[in-house]
Amino acid sequence: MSDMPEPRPAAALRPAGQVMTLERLGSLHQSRLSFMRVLLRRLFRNGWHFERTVWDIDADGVGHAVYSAKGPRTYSLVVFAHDLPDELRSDRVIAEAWDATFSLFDGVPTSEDIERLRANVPKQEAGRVSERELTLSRANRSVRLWGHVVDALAAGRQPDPAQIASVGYLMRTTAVYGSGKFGAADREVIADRPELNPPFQAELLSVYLIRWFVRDLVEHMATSQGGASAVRLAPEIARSLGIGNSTGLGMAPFLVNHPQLFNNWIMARETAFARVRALPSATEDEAALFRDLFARSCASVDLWASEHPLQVEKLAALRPDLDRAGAYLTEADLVSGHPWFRLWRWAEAELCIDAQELLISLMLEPYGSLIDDLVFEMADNSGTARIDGAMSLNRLQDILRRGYSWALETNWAERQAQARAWYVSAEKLEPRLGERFDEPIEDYEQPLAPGRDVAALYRALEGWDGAPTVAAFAIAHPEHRSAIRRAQILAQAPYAEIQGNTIDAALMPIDMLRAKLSFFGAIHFDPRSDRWVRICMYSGAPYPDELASNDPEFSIYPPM
Amino acid sequence: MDLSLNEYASLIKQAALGGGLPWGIAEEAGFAAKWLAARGVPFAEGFADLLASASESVGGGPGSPLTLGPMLSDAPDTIATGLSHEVQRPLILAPFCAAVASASRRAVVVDWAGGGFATDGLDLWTRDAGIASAMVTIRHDRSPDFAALSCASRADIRPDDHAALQRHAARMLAPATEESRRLGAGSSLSDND
Repeated sequence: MSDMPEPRPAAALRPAGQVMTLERLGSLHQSRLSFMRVLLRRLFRNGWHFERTVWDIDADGVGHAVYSAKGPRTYSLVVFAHDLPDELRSDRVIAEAWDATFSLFDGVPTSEDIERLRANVPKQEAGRVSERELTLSRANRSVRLWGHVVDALAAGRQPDPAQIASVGYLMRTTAVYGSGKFGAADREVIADRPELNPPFQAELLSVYLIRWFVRDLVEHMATSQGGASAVRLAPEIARSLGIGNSTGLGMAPFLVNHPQLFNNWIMARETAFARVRALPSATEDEAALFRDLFARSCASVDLWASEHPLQVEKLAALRPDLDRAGAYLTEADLVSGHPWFRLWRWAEAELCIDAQELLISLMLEPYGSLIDDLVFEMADNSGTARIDGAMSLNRLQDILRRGYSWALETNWAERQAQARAWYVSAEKLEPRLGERFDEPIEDYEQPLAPGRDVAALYRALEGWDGAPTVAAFAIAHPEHRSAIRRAQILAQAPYAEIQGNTIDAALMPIDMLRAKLSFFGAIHFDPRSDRWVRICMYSGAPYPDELASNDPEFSIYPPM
Repeated sequence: MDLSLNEYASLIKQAALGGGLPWGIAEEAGFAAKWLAARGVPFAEGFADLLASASESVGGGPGSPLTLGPMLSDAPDTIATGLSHEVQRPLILAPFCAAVASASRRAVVVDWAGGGFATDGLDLWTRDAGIASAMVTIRHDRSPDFAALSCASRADIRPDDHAALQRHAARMLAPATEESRRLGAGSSLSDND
């Protein structure tokens, strides 16, 4: 017997330098802390009721409908369905017409509310909603799948499972706006309602109800076309369908513009992982659940299709590593001797980052009672952080050296390091990423390169010979004020900053998109270029009208 | 026009950037606009006027409330013995004085000939506070004994002021160019399948 002590798990958080690289953020997977999972858990456990209260849609699929969700309050999805010619259908944020448009109403809308919304919601960004509305959204049909499903159901058949699996959704949203956008209610209006306190709950409730509407609409269109011979969509096929989403560059700046909020998301996941990793043992049931969900995850990854070379490459690395993990798990003791700590040590040494992060998400699954409380720490209601002017400049420099070492080591004089610039186009009012040295965009640059700005702050501090306080320096150097604020946030919130260069020639914006979307609970990331990605939401979940008798907790993992 | 507070804050922030202010100061402008609007005084005309010439008064000047305000909230002790300043649109100091009041747990009173305001950190009291510029005195004192402004969850602003702010904000929008189009801006694969 050895006198060497067993390696003890420290319940320490992983360092930001490890967690916050673009490569790792671009490899994150959904977990039970993801916002869709949080929403479904609450709707199920608190016994929410759902009802389609209005269906006024004609044989061409034009009209409106209202779906209500009743918990402590009632929220109503107001839907406007349109008959959109194929040539007008575009997933770009700048489109001007959609197959269906939506707004989540706070309460039960009157007929006056419906008419007000009918005059505005179909116009999306060109219209206005009010404080009574929580979200504004739209969706387009999948041309690949919609016609096939309508034709099959109209003819009395179920659609081809292979075609269903290859697309995964009948409609995809192209934007779901909340938080005061286009006149909707501010986040502050709803933040103190427990059901809407975790991030993006109103937006994701909208999407969950949209999925229900889409099933109703495809069956309605099949009945219009096929009459009495039409059949309804088989429940198991309907279940497998999610709502697609196309996400472009607009989402990437969000992570940089909300450092405290992003910290809170990562902090919750890392804290959950630290708690689980520190467990000295697991029960047989917990180990069995982990093994079951691991196998179902592997099945989900097998269904994950993408033609984009970067994603093809990532999947080619992930799949064999999951095979290796599977072989390891067949033999591994997951019950005693700090099983999750040992599994993590093995994964960190043996597997690609994508597989490591997938295993971490899975390790959290058996431990709802240990970690689900963290959900309530994922919001940020703090507002613009005030600057602490009393802080000494020595302390500020120390924060910069500890928190931004990668940025201080970057040679910002090299063109590659500043090759890109973020800007908003006058033409389309959409965020874009351009080539700084090849396009006349630098004068319009949005401040989305904290690394560069912090390095400039650090240089300015080295040359400063005034009073050694932040207050004195900030008066003289307003151009560094934003970087000072970020550094002071980082001192309190270690995961507030992406530890990578967001204007580098080699930046892959899809890494930022995946980080955010994984916290939403998205799966099957399918990059369509280095700057936009398609995903699927709620695939596998029970529909609202089946939720009362179907626990949705693990429905995101396909059944074996 | 009925704007959400976040819409209003975002508009002011972009208008401040369009007016040539540094990002960190533009963030302060957005913070200040939201704070004031949440107390029922969005003061869009004040911001529109200030931001029209914003870059000229920054750096050199004690004249801008977006220079003086952050200076006060960075170092709340600055007003321990009171101070006087000539400042444009002094009401825009209120959110920063509120931060001072919160930090020091003492109300802040700002007076000028014919008007003024007070804040205890949370609430705001005003008296003819819309003046374009004034020599103001800033000091700790008791807040008034009449009712504070009531809170608001929306920013109700005049269309003219909205248009002016949008014009300032539009200066941050990059015009379409042949170079950008050639390099792929705005283009994409077919997204209709």
